[in-house]
Amino acid sequence: MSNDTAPSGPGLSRDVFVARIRAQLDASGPPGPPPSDSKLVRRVEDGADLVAEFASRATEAGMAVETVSPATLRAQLASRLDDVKRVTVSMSPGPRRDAVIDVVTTLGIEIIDWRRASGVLAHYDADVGITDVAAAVAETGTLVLSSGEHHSRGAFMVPPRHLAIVPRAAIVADLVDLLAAEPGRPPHERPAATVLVSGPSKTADIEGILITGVHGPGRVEVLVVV
Amino acid sequence: MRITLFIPCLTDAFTPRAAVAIVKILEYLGHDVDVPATQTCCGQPMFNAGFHVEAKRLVTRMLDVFDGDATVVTPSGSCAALIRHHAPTLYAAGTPERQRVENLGGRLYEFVEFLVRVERMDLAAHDVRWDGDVTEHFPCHGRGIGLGDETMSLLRGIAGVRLHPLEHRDQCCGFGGTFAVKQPAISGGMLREKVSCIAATGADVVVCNDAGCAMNIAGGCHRAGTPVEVRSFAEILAEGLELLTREEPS
Amino acid sequence: MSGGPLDPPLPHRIASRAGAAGRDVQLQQFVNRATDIRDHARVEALDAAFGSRTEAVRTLAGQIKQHTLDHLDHYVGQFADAATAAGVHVHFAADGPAANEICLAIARRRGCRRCVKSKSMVTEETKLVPALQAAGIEAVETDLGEFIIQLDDDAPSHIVAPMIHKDRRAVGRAFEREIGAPYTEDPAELTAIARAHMRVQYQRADLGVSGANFLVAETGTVVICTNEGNADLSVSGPPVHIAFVGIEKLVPRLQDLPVFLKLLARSATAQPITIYTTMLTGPRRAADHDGPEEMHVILVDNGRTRLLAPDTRELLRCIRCGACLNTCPVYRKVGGGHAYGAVYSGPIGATITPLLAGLENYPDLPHASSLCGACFDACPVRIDLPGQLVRRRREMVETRVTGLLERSLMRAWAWSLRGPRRYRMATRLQRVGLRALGRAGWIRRAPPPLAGWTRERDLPVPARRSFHDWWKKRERGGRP
Ligand code: SF4
Repeated sequence: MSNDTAPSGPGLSRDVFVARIRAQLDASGPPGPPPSDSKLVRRVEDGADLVAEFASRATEAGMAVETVSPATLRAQLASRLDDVKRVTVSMSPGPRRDAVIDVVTTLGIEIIDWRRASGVLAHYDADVGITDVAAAVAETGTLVLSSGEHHSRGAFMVPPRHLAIVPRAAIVADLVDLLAAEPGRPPHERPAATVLVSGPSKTADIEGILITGVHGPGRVEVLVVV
Repeated sequence: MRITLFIPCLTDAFTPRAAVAIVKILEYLGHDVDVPATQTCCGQPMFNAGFHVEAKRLVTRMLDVFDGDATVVTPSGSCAALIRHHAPTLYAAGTPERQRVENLGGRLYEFVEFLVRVERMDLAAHDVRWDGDVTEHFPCHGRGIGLGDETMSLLRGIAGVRLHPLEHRDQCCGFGGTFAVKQPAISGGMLREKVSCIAATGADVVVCNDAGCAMNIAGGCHRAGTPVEVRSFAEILAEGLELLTREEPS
Repeated sequence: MSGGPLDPPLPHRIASRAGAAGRDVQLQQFVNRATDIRDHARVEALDAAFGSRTEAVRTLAGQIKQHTLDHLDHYVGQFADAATAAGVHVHFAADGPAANEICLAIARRRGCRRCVKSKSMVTEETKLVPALQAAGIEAVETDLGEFIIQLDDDAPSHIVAPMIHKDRRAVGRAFEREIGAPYTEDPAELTAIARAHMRVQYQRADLGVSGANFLVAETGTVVICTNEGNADLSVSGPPVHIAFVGIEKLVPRLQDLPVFLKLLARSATAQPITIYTTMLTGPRRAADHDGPEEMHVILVDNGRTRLLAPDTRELLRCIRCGACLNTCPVYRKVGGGHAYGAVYSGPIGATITPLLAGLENYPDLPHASSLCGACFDACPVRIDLPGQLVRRRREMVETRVTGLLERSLMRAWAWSLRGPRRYRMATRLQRVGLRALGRAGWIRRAPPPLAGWTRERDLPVPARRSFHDWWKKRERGGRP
């Protein structure tokens, strides 16, 4: 709307705004490709043991990481949800989500249906947000969470605990790999939000002392399924 | 090797002994030393203060004084940095002056830099001994010419030197040329921290290779009543080689 | 309008505040220690991550930013197209008031009453929070540090750690006084109080305002880096999200981001990556169940096109990591950012404030540096900050902001250096004069222009014989 050539209220029109910039530049045209050197920037090679790398980096970042097999996933989940009353589940449909829902209901835990609520408010009542991931990054122990039809922005931010299930295949080596993916995908086909989570919420604002859980979850638990 | 010395104004007037030490060491190493009588100043004070017209005139003078292809050695890292990195920006690219200043920058070395990178002096091959408790301050303009802990390594190579590491060795002492005069409160705060770190080492001598920083630190120690002497590495080495008689800390 | 440490009467003199900070020894020591810890941690983190490659990585980051700035017209246009395609409303603000006005117009149209806001330096520039409040919109800073600053009606003193000048007792007092929490000095308890308070704000808010650390031209993506997670909560709950972003935040492509994410977190807080790196490409999609209904990006100029001039363009590479502040001995000695009297402090502030607000209004800032070069070494995008400070000094000379007395003195000095005879004469005069003033080799109090020197330290008198005199005599006498 306000991005056409006519000025919108107090703003400048795009043309005027860009012309002010251009006036300071040398003859401009479409630029060549920007300088880049992904080899220089890369810290983890593709051939590395990505599960081990991810687990140790995520642990360093303050997440509780456990490697599980598909067979032990249910038991592991159950043991972690011992004293939990309410959860939200933000996962793609499929057997893994079915398994999670099965475990949770068997334990008598209430599943808050965040789809019916407006915005992220539903998650404020949950003790744990359970999610899958769009990807994970070994280099930094990062979980990648994208919004979508089955994925809420609140599940991994609002409840005091976030429990993420990460299949081995989701782990990429380096941030370079994560952000090189799908360069041609048009903007509107991308998730509205993609959040890279690399630890529990932290602050050092008070005298530089590190405290976790300031706004987001204070505990992030990761089950890597191998 | 034929070596031309550039001795900038502060060294000339306030710490001439450091320059004398350099002459003696270079001659000891077998070099032929020359000091052109027409030299004055590279223009650094003017450049840093923003007087670039004046600075350029002085740099242009330098080009004539140090014309030719001789290696130039100077005790001042900041003057070396000026000629190497900043002076070229005073001339348009492609002009003959620009080429001359770049040429000069390519053959001009701070003294320690010369010892390490050109001379590759191996102290183990010389009979050098200097007994005492020493710490070392890293003058900021070592940064500008890519120096790190060369002076420390050299000091470690001198028998008898007990080297005490200086906390925050590479933090500015607060000199900064006109900064020390224009912003005395800030500069003084930086200096006091430097002096208290030096005092904490227990050393009797602090090695500092830049004349301006040396004056600042010496003045700070004197004001604070901290009995530490300031020396350049060249003085320590010349004394250690018995080219200069040792000045005992007073 | 003036008031508050970042909005001082002009012309601003850093020395006045530096003197105060010097007396307030506790504050100065506090800031000194906090920045020192951060500075060392940065060096270690970069070394651990990149080792001998660190220089090359910094150079690359600087080159990518420089390339983007060299073609900024193109990338701003590309971003606007891509973001629009993703459903974002992109606005173009020439200055601070215009940016605020755009925001207020949206808020009015949507009937917004309560705003949660994450940390953004641009909104400090535009003074958005007072503008929202004046329009009857409640605005809460959600970053813990900024929140405490807001409660105390104080101003941030560091671009990454806004309350680096405050201790835990100040926080306890602010919470007790302003939100009725029982007094405590325990950082964990204080954080818990803030968490509980903020959760209520998030749920009530109908407007989320953020800044951004990067804009990706290729995809129209807004990238926000935080450790607390407050930006996510601020912009995912309310129905409207407005991001204020300076035009220098652009990078060409998603694949250009890694080098910046890796450098920013390490340079700022010695982390491998910030805890939350939030990439927003438009408002909620049709199929989504949450996220804002409307997303706006206000591209803010506010003096940036002026900085885009070739001589100062490199200053726009800044990614606001704060490393140059932490490493700067001057920043430490003046007790943090307030002394600079403007939103941006430290070496980067000392160079850009005079450009944005006038050399004549901030004549001290270009001189508030010993040109030690620590900032140049620290800067992840290799901005030549000392070189830029020297340029500001040159501009001060050229525009005669530098006073007549100083200009005359410097020119006289320069004149005395333009020939060997003059130089020897001047050196001799100086020697005689200073030696007359000195006692036992030292001068305790010198007249101007050296008075500043002896205020803080003694001045050694020149040696009895200059080096050049020694050399001349030696040459005459022949070598031994
Ligand atoms: S100038 Fe460089 S070091 Fe300073 S805040 Fe900006 S990016 Fe960081």
